[in-house]
Amino acid sequence: MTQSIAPPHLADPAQPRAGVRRTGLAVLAVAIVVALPLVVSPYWTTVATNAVLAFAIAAPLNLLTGNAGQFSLGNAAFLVVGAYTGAFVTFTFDMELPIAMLVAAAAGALVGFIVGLPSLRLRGAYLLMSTLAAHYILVFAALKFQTSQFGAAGAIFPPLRVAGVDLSGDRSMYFVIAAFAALIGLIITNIMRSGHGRAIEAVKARDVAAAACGISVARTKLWVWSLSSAMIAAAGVLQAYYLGSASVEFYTLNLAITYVAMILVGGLGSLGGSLLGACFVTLVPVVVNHLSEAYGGGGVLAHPHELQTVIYGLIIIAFVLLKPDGLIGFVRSAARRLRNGG
Amino acid sequence: MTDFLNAVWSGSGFGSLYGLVALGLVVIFKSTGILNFSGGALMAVGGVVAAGLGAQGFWVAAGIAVVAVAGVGAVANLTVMRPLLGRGLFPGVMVTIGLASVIEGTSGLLFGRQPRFLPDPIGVPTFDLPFGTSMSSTLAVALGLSAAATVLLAIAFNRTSVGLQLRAAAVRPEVASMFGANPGRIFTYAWAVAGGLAALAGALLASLTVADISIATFALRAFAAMIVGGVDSLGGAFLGGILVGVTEMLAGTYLGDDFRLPSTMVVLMVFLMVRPQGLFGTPEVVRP
Repeated sequence: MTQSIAPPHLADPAQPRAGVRRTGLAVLAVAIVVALPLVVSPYWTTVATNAVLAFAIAAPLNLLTGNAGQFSLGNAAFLVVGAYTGAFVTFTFDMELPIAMLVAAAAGALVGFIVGLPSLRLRGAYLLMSTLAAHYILVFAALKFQTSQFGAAGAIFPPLRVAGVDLSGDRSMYFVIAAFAALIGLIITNIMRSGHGRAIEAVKARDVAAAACGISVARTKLWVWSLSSAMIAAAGVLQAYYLGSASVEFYTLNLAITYVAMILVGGLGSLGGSLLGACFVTLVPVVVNHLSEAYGGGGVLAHPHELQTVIYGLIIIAFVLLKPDGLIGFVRSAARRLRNGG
Repeated sequence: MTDFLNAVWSGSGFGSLYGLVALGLVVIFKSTGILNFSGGALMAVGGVVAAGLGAQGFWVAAGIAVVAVAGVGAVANLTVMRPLLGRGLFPGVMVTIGLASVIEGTSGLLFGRQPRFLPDPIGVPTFDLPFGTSMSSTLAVALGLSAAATVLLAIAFNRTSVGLQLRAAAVRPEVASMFGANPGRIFTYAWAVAGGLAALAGALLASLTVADISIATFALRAFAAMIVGGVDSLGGAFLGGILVGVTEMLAGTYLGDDFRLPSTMVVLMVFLMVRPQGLFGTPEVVRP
């Protein structure tokens, strides 16, 4: 069997300036993110907020599924664990957002550890089924918690204030979420450059060989389950603040699947892929609605919701069959052509 | 006692519907190794088509729906599933999720989302059973049809040439094709059978309650039925469905309706932890 030894993301000795170029790209991305809401209309600021928030949830999932090879449908459940832990801490102890997010991350890590335990015994379809079961059990627990703590309508979040500063405006909400997303991106980048990251890749490629190299497969798996769930749960608090409320009806299996679709479309195991996928999947309904409004109600455009459902399914199928390395694959091949051409 | 028995009767009836969908999942998993997430959508569209033909009576409507959705399954295999063979779990699951989305949206575009009804399969509304209990006649028909489907499929798998080819193609497609089997065609049969079984469950469900495309989520219990019975066992899928259905109805009767779906997921989790090969499945051998 011929397999390339070095994963593609590791620095290639033939490109000594790759690190510099990478830093340049990161600076450019930050500049775009900061400048965006100052340039575009409030509507597009909302779209951008949705995309950045989606990235903050898809990126930890990509760490778990793309890098560590643990296919999970449990991410909506981790979001609700985070949102309700955050709500409980905020309402009961009158805590500020950062504290609520830290407590939610701790709760997410604990629940992620438990949901990850089956991964030590099960693999493939069986492991996926265990995350499906975990989703429904956790959402049901959240429903019971919701009924006892917040009432039937769910938790209503107040406008976001941190240290007395009102952050509930569209722009400030965008900057808060973008800052959190950047932190998530930074954490994941650093993990994947560390020994932990190499252990994760090794466990995904061949767990027996990884164990022979002295990597504790069990510890690595549970660590990545806990870590990704902690980040998703923390994002769940922000998401609930952004939406203004949290109710179990929102946290469906389809929501969980949306984030899996993002990492599939963007590119498995790639942070840039998570960003591209989050933007792409967020933009699909926006574009369909615009088309529907622009070309007013004729034929299938009269039912934008049904059309979105069909297009969403076709996109997933098309990427699996035609572009399994995702949108980041286009970027990589374009970059390769640029390098070789000039 | 009455409550208990009523829950067992209705649980086995609903469970046999999960069993029908699970049979389709098992046929596909057994032959192609793909874990099918579109079973619920196939079931729901079957119910919608059957209910749209409700004026023709249950049997004609259900028959047409079964044939139509079997065609959908076959087309799905020929277009999008075939390139996935041997590509592992994630691509198969994602494509069937995409397929479910396409089916749902297309059904919404073609038939709308209003709930539709389908007449009962037989004239009597309920059967009286001992201890003052009763069972809906439609659930009894469901139980009978699903048992018959299981037996027929088991015969087809174990006693016919196509069944032999299917089992051979499932283990080693290349070697099977050397001996004259055509795995591509065999897998199309498998998808058609899965579509037809799901549509039958959908038609029965449409007659029991109402049909619209959102009943797809009902079929999530089919995953529990599949694991409980054993992923590669046809009889297991049927019995697993009944076990899951009875658990669900008992939980609904004694704990409350909101415990129904979670109780099936607890059964799924317990089996995964204690006996992942299910009641009748072959234990998976992992070669490092």
